[in-house]
Amino acid sequence: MSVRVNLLPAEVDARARASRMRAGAGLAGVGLLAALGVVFVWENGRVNDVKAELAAEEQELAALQAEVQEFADYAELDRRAGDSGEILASALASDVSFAGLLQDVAAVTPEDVEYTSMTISLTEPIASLGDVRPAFGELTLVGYALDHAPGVERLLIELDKVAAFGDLFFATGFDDEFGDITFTVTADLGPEVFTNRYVDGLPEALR
Amino acid sequence: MNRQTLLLSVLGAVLVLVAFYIFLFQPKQDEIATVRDEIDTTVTLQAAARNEIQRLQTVRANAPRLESQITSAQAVVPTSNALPGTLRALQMAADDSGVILTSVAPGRPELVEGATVDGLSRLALSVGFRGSYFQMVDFLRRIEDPAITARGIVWDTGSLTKDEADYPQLVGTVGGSMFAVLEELPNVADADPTPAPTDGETPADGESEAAEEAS
Repeated sequence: MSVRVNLLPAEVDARARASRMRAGAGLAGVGLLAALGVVFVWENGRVNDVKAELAAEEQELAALQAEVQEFADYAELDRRAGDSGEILASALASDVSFAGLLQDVAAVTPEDVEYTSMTISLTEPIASLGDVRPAFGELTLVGYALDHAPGVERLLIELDKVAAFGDLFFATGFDDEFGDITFTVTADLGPEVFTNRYVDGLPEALR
Repeated sequence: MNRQTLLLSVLGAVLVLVAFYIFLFQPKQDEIATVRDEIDTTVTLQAAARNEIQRLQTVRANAPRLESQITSAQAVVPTSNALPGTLRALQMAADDSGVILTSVAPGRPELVEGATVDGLSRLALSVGFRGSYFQMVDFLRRIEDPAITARGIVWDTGSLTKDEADYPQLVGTVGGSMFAVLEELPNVADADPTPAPTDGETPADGESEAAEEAS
Protein backbone atom coordinates (compact mmCIF):
# COMPACT_ATOMS: atom_id res chain seq x y z
CA MET A 1 0.00 0.00 0.00
CA SER A 2 1.47 3.27 -1.12
CA VAL A 3 0.70 6.72 0.19
CA ARG A 4 0.58 9.73 -2.11
CA VAL A 5 2.05 12.84 -0.61
CA ASN A 6 1.38 16.28 -2.13
CA LEU A 7 4.63 18.12 -1.89
CA LEU A 8 3.38 21.26 -3.73
CA PRO A 9 2.55 24.28 -1.65
CA ALA A 10 -1.20 24.90 -1.05
CA GLU A 11 -1.07 28.27 -2.98
CA VAL A 12 -0.03 26.49 -6.17
CA ASP A 13 -3.00 24.16 -5.86
CA ALA A 14 -5.37 27.08 -5.22
CA ARG A 15 -4.05 29.01 -8.25
CA ALA A 16 -4.54 25.99 -10.45
CA ARG A 17 -8.08 25.54 -9.21
CA ALA A 18 -8.84 29.25 -9.75
CA SER A 19 -7.37 29.07 -13.22
CA ARG A 20 -9.62 26.11 -14.08
CA MET A 21 -12.61 27.92 -12.76
CA ARG A 22 -11.78 31.06 -14.81
CA ALA A 23 -11.35 28.93 -17.86
CA GLY A 24 -14.68 27.22 -17.14
CA ALA A 25 -16.42 30.53 -16.59
CA GLY A 26 -14.92 31.95 -19.76
CA LEU A 27 -15.97 28.90 -21.70
CA ALA A 28 -19.48 29.19 -20.26
CA GLY A 29 -19.58 32.86 -21.25
CA VAL A 30 -18.43 32.11 -24.76
CA GLY A 31 -21.01 29.31 -24.93
CA LEU A 32 -23.75 31.65 -23.75
CA LEU A 33 -22.80 34.28 -26.31
CA ALA A 34 -22.66 31.66 -29.02
CA ALA A 35 -26.11 30.40 -28.04
CA LEU A 36 -27.47 33.94 -28.07
CA GLY A 37 -25.84 34.51 -31.45
CA VAL A 38 -27.54 31.41 -32.81
CA VAL A 39 -30.89 32.57 -31.46
CA PHE A 40 -30.34 36.01 -32.98
CA VAL A 41 -29.43 34.59 -36.37
CA TRP A 42 -32.45 32.28 -36.23
CA GLU A 43 -34.76 35.19 -35.36
CA ASN A 44 -33.25 37.23 -38.17
CA GLY A 45 -34.00 34.36 -40.50
CA ARG A 46 -37.62 34.30 -39.33
CA VAL A 47 -37.90 38.03 -39.90
CA ASN A 48 -36.52 37.63 -43.40
CA ASP A 49 -38.91 34.76 -44.07
CA VAL A 50 -42.01 36.73 -43.07
CA LYS A 51 -40.75 39.76 -45.01
CA ALA A 52 -40.36 37.59 -48.06
CA GLU A 53 -43.87 36.23 -47.47
CA LEU A 54 -45.19 39.80 -47.18
CA ALA A 55 -43.43 40.79 -50.40
CA ALA A 56 -45.00 37.84 -52.21
CA GLU A 57 -48.46 38.68 -50.85
CA GLU A 58 -48.02 42.35 -51.79
CA GLN A 59 -46.97 41.34 -55.26
CA GLU A 60 -50.08 39.23 -55.62
CA LEU A 61 -52.19 42.08 -54.28
CA ALA A 62 -50.65 44.46 -56.80
CA ALA A 63 -51.47 42.02 -59.59
CA LEU A 64 -55.07 41.75 -58.36
CA GLN A 65 -55.39 45.51 -58.09
CA ALA A 66 -54.04 45.88 -61.59
CA GLU A 67 -56.70 43.43 -62.71
CA VAL A 68 -59.33 45.49 -60.88
CA GLN A 69 -58.04 48.56 -62.72
CA GLU A 70 -58.59 46.77 -66.02
CA PHE A 71 -62.28 46.64 -65.07
CA ALA A 72 -62.44 50.37 -64.30
CA ASP A 73 -64.90 51.02 -67.12
CA TYR A 74 -67.24 48.38 -65.74
CA ALA A 75 -66.90 49.78 -62.22
CA GLU A 76 -67.94 53.16 -63.62
CA LEU A 77 -70.84 51.53 -65.46
CA ASP A 78 -71.95 49.83 -62.26
CA ARG A 79 -71.75 53.13 -60.36
CA ARG A 80 -73.80 54.90 -63.01
CA ALA A 81 -76.40 52.13 -62.94
CA GLY A 82 -76.59 52.37 -59.14
CA ASP A 83 -76.86 56.16 -59.27
CA SER A 84 -79.63 56.05 -61.86
CA GLY A 85 -81.64 53.64 -59.72
CA GLU A 86 -81.08 55.80 -56.66
CA ILE A 87 -82.22 58.90 -58.53
CA LEU A 88 -85.47 57.24 -59.55
CA ALA A 89 -86.10 55.83 -56.10
CA SER A 90 -85.57 59.16 -54.35
CA ALA A 91 -87.12 61.53 -56.88
CA LEU A 92 -90.21 59.47 -57.64
CA ALA A 93 -90.82 58.01 -54.19
CA SER A 94 -94.09 59.92 -53.87
CA ASP A 95 -95.47 58.69 -57.20
CA VAL A 96 -99.27 58.49 -56.97
CA SER A 97 -101.55 57.23 -59.70
CA PHE A 98 -104.25 59.86 -60.12
CA ALA A 99 -105.77 57.63 -62.79
CA GLY A 100 -106.02 54.89 -60.18
CA LEU A 101 -107.70 57.25 -57.71
CA LEU A 102 -110.23 58.33 -60.32
CA GLN A 103 -110.89 54.68 -61.16
CA ASP A 104 -111.43 53.92 -57.47
CA VAL A 105 -113.89 56.79 -57.12
CA ALA A 106 -115.74 55.73 -60.26
CA ALA A 107 -115.90 52.12 -59.12
CA VAL A 108 -117.63 52.93 -55.82
CA THR A 109 -119.84 55.86 -56.81
CA PRO A 110 -123.56 54.99 -56.48
CA GLU A 111 -125.77 55.63 -59.51
CA ASP A 112 -127.86 58.27 -57.77
CA VAL A 113 -124.87 60.49 -57.05
CA GLU A 114 -123.42 63.08 -59.40
CA TYR A 115 -120.24 65.05 -58.86
CA THR A 116 -119.68 68.64 -59.82
CA SER A 117 -116.06 68.77 -58.78
CA MET A 118 -113.33 66.57 -57.47
CA THR A 119 -110.08 67.76 -55.93
CA ILE A 120 -107.02 65.75 -54.98
CA SER A 121 -104.20 67.35 -53.04
CA LEU A 122 -101.18 65.56 -51.70
CA THR A 123 -99.19 66.90 -48.78
CA GLU A 124 -96.44 65.89 -46.44
CA PRO A 125 -97.70 63.22 -44.01
CA ILE A 126 -100.16 64.59 -41.49
CA ALA A 127 -101.15 62.61 -38.39
CA SER A 128 -104.92 62.99 -38.09
CA LEU A 129 -106.57 63.22 -34.69
CA GLY A 130 -107.92 59.85 -33.65
CA ASP A 131 -106.41 58.26 -36.72
CA VAL A 132 -103.62 55.78 -36.25
CA ARG A 133 -102.24 56.17 -39.73
CA PRO A 134 -100.86 59.32 -41.33
CA ALA A 135 -102.68 61.10 -44.11
CA PHE A 136 -100.73 61.96 -47.24
CA GLY A 137 -103.35 64.18 -48.77
CA GLU A 138 -107.03 64.79 -49.17
CA LEU A 139 -109.72 63.94 -51.67
CA THR A 140 -112.66 66.34 -51.85
CA LEU A 141 -115.82 65.43 -53.74
CA VAL A 142 -118.59 67.96 -54.31
CA GLY A 143 -121.85 66.95 -55.94
CA TYR A 144 -125.53 66.11 -55.78
CA ALA A 145 -127.50 63.18 -54.41
CA LEU A 146 -131.20 62.50 -54.50
CA ASP A 147 -131.42 62.37 -50.72
CA HIS A 148 -129.36 62.02 -47.55
CA ALA A 149 -130.05 58.32 -47.23
CA PRO A 150 -129.49 56.19 -49.10
CA GLY A 151 -127.85 58.79 -51.46
CA VAL A 152 -125.02 60.37 -49.44
CA GLU A 153 -125.09 57.53 -46.91
CA ARG A 154 -124.33 54.94 -49.58
CA LEU A 155 -121.63 57.10 -51.08
CA LEU A 156 -119.87 57.26 -47.69
CA ILE A 157 -120.20 53.51 -47.18
CA GLU A 158 -118.85 52.77 -50.65
CA LEU A 159 -115.96 55.24 -50.38
CA ASP A 160 -114.99 53.67 -47.07
CA LYS A 161 -114.43 50.37 -48.89
CA VAL A 162 -111.46 51.86 -50.76
CA ALA A 163 -108.33 51.13 -48.75
CA ALA A 164 -106.64 54.38 -49.75
CA PHE A 165 -109.51 56.53 -48.41
CA GLY A 166 -109.88 57.07 -44.70
CA ASP A 167 -111.28 59.44 -42.11
CA LEU A 168 -114.35 60.29 -44.25
CA PHE A 169 -116.27 63.47 -43.41
CA PHE A 170 -119.10 65.25 -45.12
CA ALA A 171 -121.34 68.30 -45.14
CA THR A 172 -124.71 68.49 -46.89
CA GLY A 173 -127.19 71.13 -47.88
CA PHE A 174 -130.55 71.33 -49.62
CA ASP A 175 -130.77 72.68 -53.13
CA ASP A 176 -134.10 74.52 -53.39
CA GLU A 177 -133.89 74.87 -57.15
CA PHE A 178 -133.74 71.15 -57.98
CA GLY A 179 -134.73 69.60 -54.69
CA ASP A 180 -131.46 67.69 -54.49
CA ILE A 181 -129.05 67.29 -51.66
CA THR A 182 -125.71 68.97 -52.25
CA PHE A 183 -122.77 67.40 -50.49
CA THR A 184 -119.10 67.86 -49.87
CA VAL A 185 -117.23 64.72 -48.85
CA THR A 186 -113.59 64.71 -47.82
CA ALA A 187 -111.36 61.69 -47.36
CA ASP A 188 -107.80 61.43 -46.15
CA LEU A 189 -105.47 59.68 -48.55
CA GLY A 190 -103.54 56.89 -46.85
CA PRO A 191 -100.20 55.33 -47.77
CA GLU A 192 -101.98 52.99 -50.23
CA VAL A 193 -102.10 55.82 -52.76
CA PHE A 194 -98.39 55.48 -53.50
CA THR A 195 -97.55 53.24 -56.42
CA ASN A 196 -94.05 52.42 -55.12
CA ARG A 197 -93.22 51.49 -58.70
CA TYR A 198 -89.83 53.21 -58.49
CA VAL A 199 -88.88 51.92 -55.05
CA ASP A 200 -86.28 49.55 -56.57
CA GLY A 201 -85.19 52.00 -59.22
CA LEU A 202 -86.28 51.27 -62.76
CA PRO A 203 -89.76 49.70 -62.95
CA GLU A 204 -90.01 46.19 -64.37
CA ALA A 205 -91.78 47.52 -67.46
CA LEU A 206 -88.67 49.45 -68.49
CA ARG A 207 -86.04 46.83 -67.66
CA MET B 1 -11.82 32.87 -8.04
CA ASN B 2 -13.84 33.17 -4.96
CA ARG B 3 -17.57 32.85 -4.40
CA GLN B 4 -18.12 36.62 -4.91
CA THR B 5 -16.52 36.50 -8.34
CA LEU B 6 -18.67 33.53 -9.23
CA LEU B 7 -21.83 35.35 -8.20
CA LEU B 8 -20.79 38.40 -10.20
CA SER B 9 -20.19 36.19 -13.22
CA VAL B 10 -23.63 34.65 -12.90
CA LEU B 11 -25.15 38.09 -12.45
CA GLY B 12 -23.29 39.30 -15.54
CA ALA B 13 -24.61 36.36 -17.53
CA VAL B 14 -28.15 37.12 -16.38
CA LEU B 15 -27.68 40.77 -17.37
CA VAL B 16 -26.42 39.70 -20.78
CA LEU B 17 -29.50 37.46 -21.19
CA VAL B 18 -31.86 40.24 -20.14
CA ALA B 19 -30.14 42.76 -22.41
CA PHE B 20 -30.29 40.29 -25.28
CA TYR B 21 -33.99 39.73 -24.68
CA ILE B 22 -34.83 43.42 -24.43
CA PHE B 23 -32.60 44.85 -27.16
CA LEU B 24 -32.36 42.05 -29.69
CA PHE B 25 -34.89 39.27 -29.21
CA GLN B 26 -38.05 41.23 -28.40
CA PRO B 27 -37.60 43.80 -31.22
CA LYS B 28 -37.30 40.93 -33.68
CA GLN B 29 -40.48 39.37 -32.24
CA ASP B 30 -42.23 42.72 -32.56
CA GLU B 31 -41.01 43.09 -36.12
CA ILE B 32 -42.27 39.61 -36.97
CA ALA B 33 -45.67 40.41 -35.41
CA THR B 34 -45.87 43.68 -37.36
CA VAL B 35 -45.03 41.98 -40.63
CA ARG B 36 -47.56 39.22 -39.87
CA ASP B 37 -50.22 41.90 -39.32
CA GLU B 38 -49.26 43.44 -42.65
CA ILE B 39 -49.55 40.01 -44.28
CA ASP B 40 -53.02 39.56 -42.77
CA THR B 41 -54.07 42.99 -44.03
CA THR B 42 -52.67 42.22 -47.46
CA VAL B 43 -54.48 38.88 -47.58
CA THR B 44 -57.72 40.63 -46.58
CA LEU B 45 -57.18 43.19 -49.34
CA GLN B 46 -56.52 40.36 -51.78
CA ALA B 47 -59.80 38.74 -50.84
CA ALA B 48 -61.59 42.06 -51.32
CA ALA B 49 -59.87 42.53 -54.68
CA ARG B 50 -60.84 39.02 -55.76
CA ASN B 51 -64.46 39.69 -54.77
CA GLU B 52 -64.35 42.99 -56.63
CA ILE B 53 -62.96 41.27 -59.73
CA GLN B 54 -65.68 38.64 -59.52
CA ARG B 55 -68.33 41.35 -59.10
CA LEU B 56 -66.95 43.35 -62.00
CA GLN B 57 -66.84 40.25 -64.18
CA THR B 58 -70.56 39.90 -63.49
CA VAL B 59 -71.01 43.59 -64.32
CA ARG B 60 -69.11 43.02 -67.59
CA ALA B 61 -71.36 40.09 -68.41
CA ASN B 62 -74.42 42.25 -67.76
CA ALA B 63 -73.02 45.42 -69.34
CA PRO B 64 -75.49 45.59 -72.24
CA ARG B 65 -78.43 45.21 -69.86
CA LEU B 66 -77.01 47.84 -67.48
CA GLU B 67 -76.40 50.27 -70.34
CA SER B 68 -79.97 49.74 -71.43
CA GLN B 69 -81.25 50.32 -67.89
CA ILE B 70 -79.25 53.54 -67.58
CA THR B 71 -80.69 54.75 -70.88
CA SER B 72 -84.20 53.84 -69.72
CA ALA B 73 -83.63 55.56 -66.39
CA GLN B 74 -82.44 58.66 -68.21
CA ALA B 75 -85.70 58.67 -70.12
CA VAL B 76 -87.54 58.76 -66.76
CA VAL B 77 -85.26 61.37 -65.21
CA PRO B 78 -83.29 62.85 -68.11
CA THR B 79 -80.01 64.74 -68.00
CA SER B 80 -81.61 67.79 -69.57
CA ASN B 81 -84.97 69.51 -69.22
CA ALA B 82 -86.20 67.41 -72.15
CA LEU B 83 -89.25 69.63 -72.52
CA PRO B 84 -89.89 68.83 -76.20
CA GLY B 85 -90.07 65.12 -75.45
CA THR B 86 -92.36 65.71 -72.50
CA LEU B 87 -94.64 67.92 -74.56
CA ARG B 88 -94.74 65.27 -77.28
CA ALA B 89 -95.60 62.58 -74.70
CA LEU B 90 -98.42 64.70 -73.23
CA GLN B 91 -99.82 65.45 -76.66
CA MET B 92 -99.69 61.78 -77.65
CA ALA B 93 -101.42 60.76 -74.43
CA ALA B 94 -104.10 63.37 -75.07
CA ASP B 95 -104.56 62.31 -78.68
CA ASP B 96 -104.71 58.62 -77.84
CA SER B 97 -107.18 59.11 -74.99
CA GLY B 98 -109.34 61.67 -76.74
CA VAL B 99 -108.93 64.53 -74.30
CA ILE B 100 -108.05 68.02 -75.46
CA LEU B 101 -104.86 69.36 -73.97
CA THR B 102 -105.69 72.93 -73.03
CA SER B 103 -102.54 74.06 -71.25
CA VAL B 104 -99.08 72.92 -70.31
CA ALA B 105 -96.92 75.04 -68.02
CA PRO B 106 -93.53 73.72 -66.93
CA GLY B 107 -91.58 75.64 -64.32
CA ARG B 108 -87.90 76.36 -64.33
CA PRO B 109 -85.64 73.75 -62.70
CA GLU B 110 -84.87 74.09 -59.02
CA LEU B 111 -82.33 71.99 -57.19
CA VAL B 112 -83.88 69.35 -54.94
CA GLU B 113 -82.66 70.04 -51.42
CA GLY B 114 -80.99 67.15 -49.68
CA ALA B 115 -80.79 65.05 -52.83
CA THR B 116 -78.19 62.29 -52.70
CA VAL B 117 -77.27 62.90 -56.34
CA ASP B 118 -75.68 66.15 -57.48
CA GLY B 119 -77.74 68.20 -59.88
CA LEU B 120 -81.09 66.52 -59.20
CA SER B 121 -83.58 69.24 -60.09
CA ARG B 122 -87.33 69.55 -59.92
CA LEU B 123 -89.42 71.16 -62.63
CA ALA B 124 -92.96 72.07 -61.66
CA LEU B 125 -95.55 71.07 -64.23
CA SER B 126 -99.15 72.07 -64.60
CA VAL B 127 -101.38 70.49 -67.23
CA GLY B 128 -104.91 71.47 -68.21
CA PHE B 129 -107.22 69.26 -70.28
CA ARG B 130 -110.83 68.76 -71.25
CA GLY B 131 -112.74 65.56 -71.88
CA SER B 132 -115.07 63.00 -70.37
CA TYR B 133 -114.33 61.36 -67.03
CA PHE B 134 -113.02 58.12 -68.46
CA GLN B 135 -111.08 59.88 -71.19
CA MET B 136 -109.34 61.74 -68.39
CA VAL B 137 -108.67 58.49 -66.54
CA ASP B 138 -107.14 57.10 -69.72
CA PHE B 139 -105.13 60.27 -70.31
CA LEU B 140 -103.67 60.18 -66.81
CA ARG B 141 -102.98 56.45 -67.06
CA ARG B 142 -101.06 56.98 -70.28
CA ILE B 143 -98.92 59.63 -68.61
CA GLU B 144 -98.38 57.63 -65.44
CA ASP B 145 -97.60 54.28 -67.06
CA PRO B 146 -93.81 54.23 -67.54
CA ALA B 147 -94.21 51.78 -70.42
CA ILE B 148 -96.20 54.42 -72.33
CA THR B 149 -94.72 57.70 -71.10
CA ALA B 150 -91.21 57.17 -69.85
CA ARG B 151 -90.75 60.63 -68.30
CA GLY B 152 -91.47 60.35 -64.59
CA ILE B 153 -94.06 62.86 -63.44
CA VAL B 154 -95.26 63.00 -59.85
CA TRP B 155 -98.66 64.61 -59.43
CA ASP B 156 -99.51 66.36 -56.19
CA THR B 157 -102.67 68.28 -57.05
CA GLY B 158 -105.58 67.60 -59.33
CA SER B 159 -109.06 68.88 -59.88
CA LEU B 160 -111.96 68.00 -62.15
CA THR B 161 -114.96 70.23 -62.56
CA LYS B 162 -118.06 70.14 -64.69
CA ASP B 163 -117.79 72.07 -67.92
CA GLU B 164 -121.06 74.00 -67.51
CA ALA B 165 -121.09 74.99 -71.16
CA ASP B 166 -120.40 71.54 -72.57
CA TYR B 167 -121.59 68.89 -70.09
CA PRO B 168 -120.75 65.92 -69.78
CA GLN B 169 -117.34 67.26 -70.71
CA LEU B 170 -115.14 67.99 -67.70
CA VAL B 171 -112.34 70.44 -67.21
CA GLY B 172 -109.30 69.00 -65.49
CA THR B 173 -106.03 70.33 -64.20
CA VAL B 174 -103.20 68.42 -62.60
CA GLY B 175 -100.05 69.83 -61.07
CA GLY B 176 -96.90 68.11 -60.03
CA SER B 177 -93.21 67.77 -60.66
CA MET B 178 -90.88 66.16 -63.10
CA PHE B 179 -87.18 65.75 -62.52
CA ALA B 180 -83.89 66.10 -64.33
CA VAL B 181 -80.26 65.67 -63.39
CA LEU B 182 -78.65 68.86 -64.61
CA GLU B 183 -74.92 69.47 -64.53
CA GLU B 184 -75.54 73.17 -64.26
CA LEU B 185 -78.71 75.07 -63.47
CA PRO B 186 -79.52 77.85 -65.93
CA ASN B 187 -79.17 81.36 -64.57
CA VAL B 188 -82.74 82.16 -63.61
CA ALA B 189 -82.05 85.43 -61.82
CA ASP B 190 -83.30 87.50 -64.75
CA ALA B 191 -85.85 85.04 -65.99
CA ASP B 192 -89.59 85.22 -65.53
CA PRO B 193 -90.36 82.77 -62.70
CA THR B 194 -93.94 82.16 -63.85
CA PRO B 195 -93.97 81.00 -67.44
CA ALA B 196 -97.19 81.50 -69.37
CA PRO B 197 -99.12 78.33 -70.14
CA THR B 198 -98.76 77.09 -73.67
CA ASP B 199 -101.74 76.13 -75.73
CA GLY B 200 -101.84 72.38 -75.71
CA GLU B 201 -103.48 72.17 -79.09
CA THR B 202 -100.83 74.32 -80.72
CA PRO B 203 -97.86 71.95 -80.73
CA ALA B 204 -98.43 70.10 -83.90
CA ASP B 205 -97.05 66.66 -84.54
CA GLY B 206 -94.57 68.12 -86.96
CA GLU B 207 -93.02 70.52 -84.48
CA SER B 208 -89.37 70.26 -85.28
CA GLU B 209 -87.95 70.27 -81.76
CA ALA B 210 -90.39 67.68 -80.52
CA ALA B 211 -89.85 65.55 -83.56
CA GLU B 212 -86.10 65.65 -83.04
CA GLU B 213 -86.52 64.65 -79.41
CA ALA B 214 -88.90 61.85 -80.29
CA SER B 215 -86.58 60.53 -82.96
